[in-house]
Amino acid sequence: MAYLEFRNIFLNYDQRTIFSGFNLEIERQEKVLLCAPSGRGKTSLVKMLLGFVVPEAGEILVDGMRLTGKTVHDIRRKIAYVSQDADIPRGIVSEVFASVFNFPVNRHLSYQETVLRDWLKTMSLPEDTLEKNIDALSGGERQRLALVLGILLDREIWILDEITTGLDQELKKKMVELLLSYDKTILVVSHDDIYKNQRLREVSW
Amino acid sequence: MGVQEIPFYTPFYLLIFVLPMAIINFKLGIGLNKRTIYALFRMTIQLVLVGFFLQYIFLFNNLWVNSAYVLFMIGAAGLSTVKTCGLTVKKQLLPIVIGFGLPNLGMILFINQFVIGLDNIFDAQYYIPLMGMLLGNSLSGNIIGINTFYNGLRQNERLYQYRLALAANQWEATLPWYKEAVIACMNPIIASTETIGLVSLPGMMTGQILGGSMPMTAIVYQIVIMGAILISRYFGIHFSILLTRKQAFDDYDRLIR
Repeated sequence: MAYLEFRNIFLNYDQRTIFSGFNLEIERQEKVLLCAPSGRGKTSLVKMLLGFVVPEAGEILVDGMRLTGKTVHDIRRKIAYVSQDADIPRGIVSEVFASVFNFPVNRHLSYQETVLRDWLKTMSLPEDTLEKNIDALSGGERQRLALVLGILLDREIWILDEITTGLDQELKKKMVELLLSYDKTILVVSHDDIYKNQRLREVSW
Repeated sequence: MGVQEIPFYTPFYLLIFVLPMAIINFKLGIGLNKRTIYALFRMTIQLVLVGFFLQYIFLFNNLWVNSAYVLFMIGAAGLSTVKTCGLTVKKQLLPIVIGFGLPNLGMILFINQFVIGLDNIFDAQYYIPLMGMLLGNSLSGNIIGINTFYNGLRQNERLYQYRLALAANQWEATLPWYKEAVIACMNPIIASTETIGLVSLPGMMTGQILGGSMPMTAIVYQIVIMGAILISRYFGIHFSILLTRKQAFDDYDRLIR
């Protein structure tokens, strides 16, 4: 059985049919690029996996678990969701990170700020970023922090929703190569050509 | 010293000043005339009816009649909150009524028993007007707080979802808006508690002094009521959000109200 599975999904949004009888199977540690044209529901698809959007009919299975109101929390716990930079929690960077790793589901990760400092270097972010307010950072800086947050959460499934907007070409390439080097099940939502020739399975509909 | 009785017709003298207001509004095209006149008219009718009603309630001064009236006040305030905040009446009226009825009821009985030390804590003379003051304040605080919480979540849906994905727990995901709601609810009352007496003489004190109490007696009552308002407003907003949120989200933590 596939690790992630969308089975016969029906979804309407704003009185428009987005999915009717949609199927998709993704294996464990497979890396998938969702590259359907705009308006075809790429983000809706990943949001269904997180239970933020609930389909009218059909089943979603994650690691053998059927997604319902009862299992949604266990499933979310397996997923690191990185979306556009603006969605990262507000506040001072070091405090935001500390508070996220203070959530009961994340406490086992024994997060240390030194780890974050190392990551700032890797991501070419200045060290004083830690003391800055999230709102004072540029979109690209926020985006990189969101990626670090996603990586540090060490979850099995990564959803990367349009994460390259706001990054320059060189940084983009670096990020993408870094992210795809992990042995995770990765779903990428993007139109960016940077993902081409990275041995991702391209899915369109 | 008793209060000077006002004859029934002299309040209408105030209408002399409403006339120029109406003319100015009309000339400048300020669309307030209808609402002003309606509000004054409605206020008069409402208060006269309440006055008649209270006269009888005070005459009986019975525990059950008094409590029924207090419950009616709580219900009306609850309905007003639910409507103003755009919540579903059927689902959310009871949680709201309990959510801010309980802290206020508890507070009033506590004051009557331990602070004022009444023989009959359900005595209409204390029970009803003090409860009215507490409820009136909780009502405005509740509306501000509940609106802040639910509108904040609605307007920041993406931030909220991101937090849900990070935390996988609705309580933690909503915490920033919960805190904001409590702060928004408490800010006005904290500000007015700070400045009371400097900017304006509080209504209850004014009433008591007009009614013949010595200023120091009136002041002690005012201190008690200010403290009580602040406390019951605080617990009221916590209870109201905690009780309404049970119904406000679906199994997937999506806000439905």
